[in-house]
Amino acid sequence: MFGSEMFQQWAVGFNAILSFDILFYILLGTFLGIVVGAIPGLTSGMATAILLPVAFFMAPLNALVFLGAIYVSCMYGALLTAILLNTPGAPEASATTLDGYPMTKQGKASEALGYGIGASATGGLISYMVFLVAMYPVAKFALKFGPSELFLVAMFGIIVVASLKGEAFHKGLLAAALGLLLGTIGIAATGEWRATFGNIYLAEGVQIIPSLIGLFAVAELLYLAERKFVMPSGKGEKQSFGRILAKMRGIFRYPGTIARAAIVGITIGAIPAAGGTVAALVSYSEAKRSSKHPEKFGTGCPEGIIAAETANNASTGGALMTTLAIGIPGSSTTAIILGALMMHGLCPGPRLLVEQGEIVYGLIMALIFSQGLMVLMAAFVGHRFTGLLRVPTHILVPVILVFCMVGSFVIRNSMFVAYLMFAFGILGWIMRKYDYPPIAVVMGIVLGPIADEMLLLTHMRFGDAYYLAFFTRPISLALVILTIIVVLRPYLGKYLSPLGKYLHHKRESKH
Amino acid sequence: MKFRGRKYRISLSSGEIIIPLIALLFVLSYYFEVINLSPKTLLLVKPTLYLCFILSLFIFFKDGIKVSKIPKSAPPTLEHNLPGLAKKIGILLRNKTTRVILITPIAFLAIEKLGFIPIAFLYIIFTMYLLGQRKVLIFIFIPPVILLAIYFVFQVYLHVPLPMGILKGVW
Repeated sequence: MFGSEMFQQWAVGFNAILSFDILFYILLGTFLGIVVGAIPGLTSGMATAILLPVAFFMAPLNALVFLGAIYVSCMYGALLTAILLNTPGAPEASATTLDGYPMTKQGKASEALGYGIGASATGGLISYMVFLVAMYPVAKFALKFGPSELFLVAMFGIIVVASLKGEAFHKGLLAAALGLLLGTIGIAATGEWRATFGNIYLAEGVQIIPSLIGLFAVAELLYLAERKFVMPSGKGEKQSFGRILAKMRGIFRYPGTIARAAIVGITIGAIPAAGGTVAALVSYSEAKRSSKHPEKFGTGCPEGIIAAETANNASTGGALMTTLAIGIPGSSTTAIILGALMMHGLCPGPRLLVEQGEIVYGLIMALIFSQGLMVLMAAFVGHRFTGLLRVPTHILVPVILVFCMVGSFVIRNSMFVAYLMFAFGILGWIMRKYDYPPIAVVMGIVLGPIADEMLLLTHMRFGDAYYLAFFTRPISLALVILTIIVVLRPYLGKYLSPLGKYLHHKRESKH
Repeated sequence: MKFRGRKYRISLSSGEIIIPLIALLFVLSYYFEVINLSPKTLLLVKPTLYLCFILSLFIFFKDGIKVSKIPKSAPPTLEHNLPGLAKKIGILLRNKTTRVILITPIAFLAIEKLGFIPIAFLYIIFTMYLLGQRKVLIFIFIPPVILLAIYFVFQVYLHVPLPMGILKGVW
């Protein structure tokens, strides 16, 4: 029953992407993703935020496929500049520079690109296959969650993001609390108008799109405005398509590295807010630790590129699974994709698979298809995009700002939304300057209404002693303990690290 | 900004207090706005407000205020730091980001009255100039191409009306 139901859903999903529209959006999203990914400073979060208003007017599946293709193909774009220019196009490709650029310096740029592109595609494909198979059981398990669990899941997601700042946890927590308050503006589930300040536009709450465009795109543009170029300079090198192709096949000489990196990538990607950067760095150090020649890492070792690229691409599948099955974004870009789902009236979480299986499986099928397309684009023309680094910011900033303006306006056909977007932009810019995580505000805005509604439902179900439900139900209790661990981790880390160092030292001395 | 006594000097880190101040203002206005609502509506809001208030104050005092001892050799006079503040404001106004921040709301206001296309055209040119662009060809080529693309995507492809202002009905 379980298997046949799942295969049926796969078939429905596959059927859904067999249309000209979907194929067009996959192609467009992939192209835009590679271009944006190749420009350091422009992130997948920024690209998806700017294009969110365009996605608003598309059919839900088209919108998700379009944004999803941008998200995953950004990783490809990022590896191009990481290998050719020692400048990761996105933070996720930071670990790729460690061995990618030394290979370029040795005159093996095409080989490095081949390893990188091949590993990215393999990591992506493995991760979407796991996503395809695991989505159903994960969502089925999540269906057991009641309002108290869903409230705690939302709070867990917010607190995890807030804790990313480590010892500046208080800053992350303030940002998250601000986001939570912003997210609870509007008509409450009780029917009362809450903190609308007499403004009719705020009755439906703070719109997700202007906050996303502001905090991710405008804040980044204001930051870029202070620089002359996105990057100081970029030198072009000729690559050979034949050598790229040969080394793409060459990755299969390292099956152990690929398998390890894929597992690390999917697992870390599925943890809310951990993301591809952490996945790539952990996978790189794991590959180095288990390699027979760890001394070669950092000098142009193919295994290093394969470990980093497989993991950062595999993280996208894990992140999307957490987003769609539980409703907790695994990264900033998946938070935007979550926003896209909500703006189309779809409720992310386990019920999404039951009610909109076509959309979920259609998205997975589209992403699998887009991997093939990305390999072709990245191998044939991708490396030419590195020339975009030379675009001066005094052209880039005004042009993208105009896109942000029009994008926020068209959502409600009102200038109020545009003002709101710009206010969020300034807030995001200041937050970035003083080391506050804007993603924590976004998580608060996105998950705030869900947390508020679920807490109210918990109260209605369990009465005035509703908070006891958090400690008497097993899943709730597990979530409470997890949240406490996350909160205490930065502080406990200080005391635990000497213990870790001691154990590591003991292990080394045994060898 | 610095305040100086006989033994100690208190300095305000103007950057570090911005976010706690914004948060405090927001929390207080939010609090007075929702004070009369039913407790059920404030189940999540109330603890969040308190948390936000405490954290804002904590960060304000922890990161925003620095108290340091004055060395004995320094003269014990009150220090007026106004020339320094004026200098800071001058630097801020020369900053490219500040220019963009100042010009953008003006463009928003103008868009409401005069419509998106003409104002966005002027906005791109003006912002490019403020950020350091001086090539006339770029001014002639970039804005029309971008605006044509926006017009095509939104008005023609997605059938979403752009603000027309006084040009309403012209096209």
